[in-house]
Amino acid sequence: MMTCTQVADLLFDYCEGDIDEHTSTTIEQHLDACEECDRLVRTYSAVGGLVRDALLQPLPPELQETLDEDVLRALAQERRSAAGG
Amino acid sequence: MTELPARMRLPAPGADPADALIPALRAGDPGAFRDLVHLLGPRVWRIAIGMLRHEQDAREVVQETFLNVHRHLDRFRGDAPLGAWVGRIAKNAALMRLRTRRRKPETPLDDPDGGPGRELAHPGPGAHSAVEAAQLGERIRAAIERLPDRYREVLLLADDQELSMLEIAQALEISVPNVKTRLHRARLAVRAALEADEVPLD
Repeated sequence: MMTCTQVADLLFDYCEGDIDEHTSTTIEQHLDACEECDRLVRTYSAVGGLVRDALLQPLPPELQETLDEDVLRALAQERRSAAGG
Repeated sequence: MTELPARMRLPAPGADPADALIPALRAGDPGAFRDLVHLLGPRVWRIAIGMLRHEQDAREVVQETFLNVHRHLDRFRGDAPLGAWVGRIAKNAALMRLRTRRRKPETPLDDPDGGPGRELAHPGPGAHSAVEAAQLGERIRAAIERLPDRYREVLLLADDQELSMLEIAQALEISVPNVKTRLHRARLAVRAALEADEVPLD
C-alpha cells in the first residue's frame, strides 16, 4: 500500500494522467482507503478549471469596437502597400 | 481514402458559427472578414490578454493575428473549425510576443510594483452573477495575485490558456520539469488558499 507522502509526490503526474496504469491503480487503492488524500486529489484536480472560470471575461463593448477598427485599418493599410508595391 | 476538397467538407451541426463565413472569406469578401473579426475578436482577445496580461501588447497581437489570418486563409484546409485555427494563430502570435518581451528587460513580464501587465482579468458585470460563484472567483483571483510571479505566469499559461508543458517551457525558456514543479506549486497554493490555509512556496 502506498503512503500519503508517496501519493502527494505523484499528485501532479496522476492528475495530468502522466502515469503508468499500475501506479495509477495503486494510487486509487490508497484513495479508496484514505479520505484525506481522496479529498486532496479531488480539490487539487479542480484547480485548473476553477482558474479558467475565474479568469473568464467578456470583451468590453468599447474595446470590441476599437479592435474591429484597428484590425480593419491595418488590413486596409496592408492592401494599399500590396497594391503599391 | 481520397480526401474531399476542403470546401466540400461540411461543418458538424452546431459547429463554430465562424465556419459559415468560410465561402465568403475565400471569395475575398471584405464584409465577411469584418464579420470574422467581430465574431472571433473576443476569443482572440482572451488568448492575447490571458497570455500577455498587457493591454497594448494584447491589442497588437490581435491585429497581427487577423492580419495573419487574412494572409494565410488559403492555407486553412477546413479540417478543424475556423475558430480553432484562428485561435492557434493567436496563440502562436502571443507566444512569439512573450518570447520577444522576455528578451527586453525594459518591459518585464513580472512587474513587482504592479504595472498594467500585472492586472488580472476581472469578469464584467454581465458575467456569471450568482453570489457564490462571484465570491469563489474573487478568492481564486486573489490567490493567483498573491502567487510569486514565476508560479503565476506558469499557472496562467497552463490552466487559463491551456498551453502544453512543452509550449510553456519554450515560451519561458525553462525546462519542462521546471514548468511542472512551478505549476504543481501554484496549484497547491491556489488550492490551499481556497481551504483558507497557507502553503509555503519557497
